[in-house]
Amino acid sequence: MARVNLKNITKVYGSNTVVDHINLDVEDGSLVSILGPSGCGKTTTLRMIAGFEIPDDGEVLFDDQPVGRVPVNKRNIGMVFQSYALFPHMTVAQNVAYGLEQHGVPKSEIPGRVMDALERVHMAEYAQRKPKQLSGGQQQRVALARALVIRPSVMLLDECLSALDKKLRVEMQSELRRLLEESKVTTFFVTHDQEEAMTLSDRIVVMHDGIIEQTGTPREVYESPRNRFVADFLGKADFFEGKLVSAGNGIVTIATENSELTLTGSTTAAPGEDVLFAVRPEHVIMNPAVGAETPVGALRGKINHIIYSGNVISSIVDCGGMMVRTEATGGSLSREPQRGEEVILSWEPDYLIQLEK
Amino acid sequence: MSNNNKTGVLGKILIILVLLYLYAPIFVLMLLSFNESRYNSLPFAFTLDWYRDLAEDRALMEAAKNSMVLALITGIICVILGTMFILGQRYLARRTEGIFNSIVMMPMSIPWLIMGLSSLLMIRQLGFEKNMIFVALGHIVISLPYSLLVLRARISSLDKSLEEMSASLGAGPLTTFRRITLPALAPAMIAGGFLSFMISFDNFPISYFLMPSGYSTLPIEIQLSIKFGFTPEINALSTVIIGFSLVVLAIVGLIMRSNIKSLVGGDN
Repeated sequence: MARVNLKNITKVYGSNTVVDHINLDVEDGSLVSILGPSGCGKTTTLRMIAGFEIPDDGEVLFDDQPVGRVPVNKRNIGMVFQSYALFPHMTVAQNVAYGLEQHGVPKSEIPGRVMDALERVHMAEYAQRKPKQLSGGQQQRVALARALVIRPSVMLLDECLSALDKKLRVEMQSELRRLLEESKVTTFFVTHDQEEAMTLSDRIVVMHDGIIEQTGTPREVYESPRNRFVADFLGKADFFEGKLVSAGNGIVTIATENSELTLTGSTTAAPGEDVLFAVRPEHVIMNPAVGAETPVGALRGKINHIIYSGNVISSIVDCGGMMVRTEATGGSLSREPQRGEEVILSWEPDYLIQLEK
Repeated sequence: MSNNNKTGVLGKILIILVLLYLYAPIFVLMLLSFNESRYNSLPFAFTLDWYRDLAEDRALMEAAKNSMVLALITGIICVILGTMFILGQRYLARRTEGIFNSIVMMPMSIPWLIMGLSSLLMIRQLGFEKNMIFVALGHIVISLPYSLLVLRARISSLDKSLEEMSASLGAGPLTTFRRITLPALAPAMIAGGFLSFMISFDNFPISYFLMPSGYSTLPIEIQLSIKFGFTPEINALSTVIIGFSLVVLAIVGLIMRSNIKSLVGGDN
């Protein structure tokens, strides 16, 4: 229950700048994901918020108070690690009670609050078990209860669902979100899983090489990615890169290395500028090619291969050497695409995303 | 199938041979401790006389007490030093850690005979008289690496996030050490201490060189008694020691097992 500000925080290991002057303002009670590939500095950022790492430059503020000199055990944070880090020699109840004891909660209140917390994660009946007698999902719940029971001002979750199998992970996602919204606690998730970031958070911070590439709601980040990295990391994208030749009437013409492409959409760039566009594969409509004519703004190609993954059928289309990916939900196709088939690819003008070069 | 059976039988025979090779001498010794003959000769006639004699042998009992005290002190100090060492080591740079490691583990690769002799020479050069403190110091130097080996194996598998978690829950460094780190290390401390205890209890060369006159330990006493008239009392004593070791080993084993079970995921 605190507002968190990161001001220019930086962490350097040797000659390697892991986190490079990051600024981030997080509202009280919001759920924020820090998303990025491994090595992007997201965990280091989280550890600086927690106080395990001290920034080499910049400041972390909780409710406008700098916490640089406040040690971890005085920051009132709740943490959940990927490994859960349940204390192996204590029972579930003792694990949850531990934080309350450290916070000087009167002895008489502790059992009640422990049971409350365990009930909220549906683990009350396991109170007397040892962690090793629990499944991964159950350990996860206990770890959550242990972090939430101390009523932390900030919750920090480090890849906390990654160790679960897919089905359980999806179940836990919605439950986790419910718990955190109920507790109204400011929360940071560190994750490399875009789906997790989208479902769990109000805001996504995309990190790459120690810097923030983009911050926004899940919808903003997915639908209007700022650059190639974000477009590529969140979801899939087809990219079109070249020099802008002309634009107007819902058609953009670019010159690529060896040909000229007409794409449906619009741009703010001026002719002659280098431009980069992206289209999400699920926005690409694929139709069989009839006749020799290719409509303006559409692409013509041959299906190179087809990837069937149950709910989604992806076709990789070879458009004169350029591979374009399309995706269709299983039921939406009137007929199965065939390998080698000639097709026309098109999309609605709004779906052409202009990226920063 | 038949091939498998053949190798199975062969394997069993081999195991029995190895076990015989390892334990037959000990078994013979234990048997002879109950034999009437003073010269360890057959036929076997059961007696407990040697155990009675042992209980009345002041010199031997005194040596046993010395050995026990020495080994206990060595074991305890090795555990304390070893634990401090591995905990401190976590904050060292990798290179420094390597250097420290080599220095502490060195006594393992130097023959004890040489360690004993060189310690004696140094004590003499410095103008000290031999005394029990030097004996204890010598035992600690050679036993410490064994404690360290066990402790290091444990700490390298100790998840640092447990301690971080404790801090995040509001515990200061001392509480974290007492309630999280120490319980996690306890099994290794017991096992390491036991190992150092045995190394010290068993040690002859260091004690031989450094022991002040008028004092003795079991290994020295046994060596002396072989020189000046061996009696089956020694057999009885050895049997008692073996029995004692087995009991301690069993206890340590039980503690370790229950601890490891609760520390490692195990059977879920």
